[in-house]
Amino acid sequence: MQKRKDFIWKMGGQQGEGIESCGEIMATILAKEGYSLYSQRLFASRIKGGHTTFALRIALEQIMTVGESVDFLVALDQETVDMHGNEVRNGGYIICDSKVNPDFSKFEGAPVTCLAVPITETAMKQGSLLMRNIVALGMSVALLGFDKTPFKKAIAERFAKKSQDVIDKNLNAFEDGYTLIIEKRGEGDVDTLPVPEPKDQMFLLGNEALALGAIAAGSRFMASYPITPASEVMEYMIKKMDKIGATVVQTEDEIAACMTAMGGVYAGVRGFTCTSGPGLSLMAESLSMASMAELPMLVIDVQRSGPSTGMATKVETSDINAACHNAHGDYANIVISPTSIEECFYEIQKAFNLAEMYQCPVIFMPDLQQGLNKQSVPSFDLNRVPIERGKMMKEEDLPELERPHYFKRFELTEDGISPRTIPGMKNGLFLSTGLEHNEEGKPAEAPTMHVSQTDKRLRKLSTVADVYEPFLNNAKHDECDVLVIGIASSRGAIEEAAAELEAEGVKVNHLQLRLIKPFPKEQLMPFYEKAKKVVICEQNATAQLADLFRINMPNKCKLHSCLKYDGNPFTATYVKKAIKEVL
Amino acid sequence: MAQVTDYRNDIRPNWCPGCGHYGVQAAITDAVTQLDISPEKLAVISGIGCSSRIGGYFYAYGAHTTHGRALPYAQGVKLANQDLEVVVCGGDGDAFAIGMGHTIHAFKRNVNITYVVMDNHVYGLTKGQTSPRSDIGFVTKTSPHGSFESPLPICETAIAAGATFVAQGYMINRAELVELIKQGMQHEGFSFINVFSPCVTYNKRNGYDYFKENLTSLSKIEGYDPSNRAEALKTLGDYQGLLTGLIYEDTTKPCFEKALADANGGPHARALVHDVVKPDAAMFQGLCDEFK
Repeated sequence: MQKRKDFIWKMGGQQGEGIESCGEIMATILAKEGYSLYSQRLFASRIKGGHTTFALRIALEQIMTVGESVDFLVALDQETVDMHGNEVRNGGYIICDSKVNPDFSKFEGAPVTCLAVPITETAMKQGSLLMRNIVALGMSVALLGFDKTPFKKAIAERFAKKSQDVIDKNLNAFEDGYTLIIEKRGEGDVDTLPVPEPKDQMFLLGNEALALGAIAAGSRFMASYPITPASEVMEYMIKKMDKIGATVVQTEDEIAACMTAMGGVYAGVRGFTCTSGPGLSLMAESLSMASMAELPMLVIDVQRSGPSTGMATKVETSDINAACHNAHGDYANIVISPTSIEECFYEIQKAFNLAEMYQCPVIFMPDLQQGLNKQSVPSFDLNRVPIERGKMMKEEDLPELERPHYFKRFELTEDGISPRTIPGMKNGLFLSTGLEHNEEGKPAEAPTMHVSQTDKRLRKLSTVADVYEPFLNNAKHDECDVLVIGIASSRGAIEEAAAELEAEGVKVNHLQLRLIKPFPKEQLMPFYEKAKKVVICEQNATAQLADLFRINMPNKCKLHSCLKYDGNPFTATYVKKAIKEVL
Repeated sequence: MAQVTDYRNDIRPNWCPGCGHYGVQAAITDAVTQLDISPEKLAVISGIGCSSRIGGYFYAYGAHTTHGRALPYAQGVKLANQDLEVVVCGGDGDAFAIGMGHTIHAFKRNVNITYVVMDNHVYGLTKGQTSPRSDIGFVTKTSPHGSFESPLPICETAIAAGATFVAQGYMINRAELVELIKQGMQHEGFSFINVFSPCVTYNKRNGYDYFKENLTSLSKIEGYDPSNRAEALKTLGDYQGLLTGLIYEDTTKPCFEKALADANGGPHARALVHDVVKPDAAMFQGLCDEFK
């Protein structure tokens, strides 16, 4: 029996048909068994109706993409067959509900098996259309050749709060679904995956990892405004508010969200907000003030396709320019992008630390692909990233203050970072203002003071790239044919493309950038210099990341771009093709 | 006991001689002195405009924020540290034009802070343009043929939006204003105090003489009951809003902080402002286990 490396399972139909929950039940169980999983939900920006698919890649090694071709496509409608049938790889299956009298004529002669199976009819036999997803789950378990036992246990647990009758009906639906497939193709030789070593894993959304990361960073204060694809962060924080003792406010708009969180930050808590592109635009003025008033404000921007409302449910990394430059004036801030769902948890904690260490706004920007898709990750370690608050003063250490003097909250220090006090601290009084100010925060428009304070605000960022690991280093070679640089969710496609190219004898170094601003020029330089060609992968049309390289790096003629802006994530094939073109 | 000098710094206000805002600053100072709020517990949050410079004129924690956004910022401050006395200040442009969205929501959210608006019916710092509170026919640089938008009936709006404390004062009637500010600070919820504060430079129409002639104190209206919402709205209508005193107070609605704590099963053991630390390990493990 051939042992494969992975399985890609996909189910499609109309939104609201329980397609996602079928995939989720399967994923939760397989994560427990120790498989590595990556899921992908494709959906329209509406509540019910509209075509949707849920794909799940099941593998033994850690994976970062959902992969490309599908092994088993389960279709509840003809649209799924028509739109996704051609994704099925040789030897794969297309299984469609016989209720829709599926038309498989397109696949005549193709090396795929097409089956019409009574999914709806089987569900109705148990009394409800709602059980179609459980029938499909039973079918899928049979197709993939997994042991039925843990799935049946999970179904019983899932419906434990309902009556025994409900549990029994769902178990029957599962069994019936399983039997449908076994009858069609026999019990015999199923090309399944080997059983992995059990691992301590979690299966969650990037947005959920972000919320857990904020909690682990000691944040208990959030103000936010709902927006796709970022709302899950606020929803999770609110759901757990009582447990973590948090205050979460759903504000009237994104300006209020940013300002409310900033008020909390000024008062000494780790406040944050979470949004997407349109919200980031609205926060621009507030962030400019956070830069001027040196407030350690954290904004999460889960990037979606733009400009404007764009494609709210599609991925892009086109907020790079906005995150770096959307605020007016000589704006000092830090911009960070996590390279995986796991990093949504760990890197956001570092982002909270950097905000307080450098006393400036930090934009933390995953993309929609990371925010809204679930992946299996090693269980989170609460203590890996310790809390660091920079130059936060303790009330008892403050020297006596005599009216009318204030505490020098904006002291012109050598590293540009000033000691910080918060309201409530005796002897810590200072004025906070968006006006240019002196060391005590009093308005000051003298030319020398504006120059000194501007230089101070910019100078303090000069050490960020030394303190914070600016990129994920996947560089295996001292000298390479091509250096591939990506951000956010492009990591998986680049890693898989690089592995394929390496197998073909191409020397590929890969860096996945985390620190976007301040640009880690010095840290990138050794890799950059020793590469014959450099390819920057990003999901936008204007090559925003590549522009940062053009501004900062020498020898611009070796810079090439791999761009994608159709709303769908990078695939290994796409990246590989782009790299081959420049070699 | 606190002295009025405790809140005095060495910054000279940029207000014109004769500006009403001096009187408002004096009234706030009297109120915090009489309530004995120490400077480190006082946070004065303001927006942008002549009146909003007030955030820097007290010896206290002052935050001078962005135009129209003082309220969300101030709510954040209060929610993060409930031990602070948070006073928000601004003008009628800051509050009722650019910041109106936030003002309406602050009325309905009911966070326990005090909002003092210095209302002079005109934009001053930008040198004389019409405001949302300007009278019809008011001539400014941006309304050369006289303003033709309706002046916003702000106290009626506040009551309609669910405000739990609505008062109006005149900076010349210092004793009444000080009492209103003190009552506002002691009210558990969002306290809105609109204060007529004449602009002697850009508003000759609504100057000291105008307010002297046209304002009626509620203390002169026998049997007025500020807990009666319908009566408050009717009286405001009868006097075209030109009233001073406590117009409306609802003491039955809990403030946002309290409602939130109740929804969470009581206040959390550790107040937010306590040191930022890692969450409880067992609790955090429980959160992670839900994803397994």
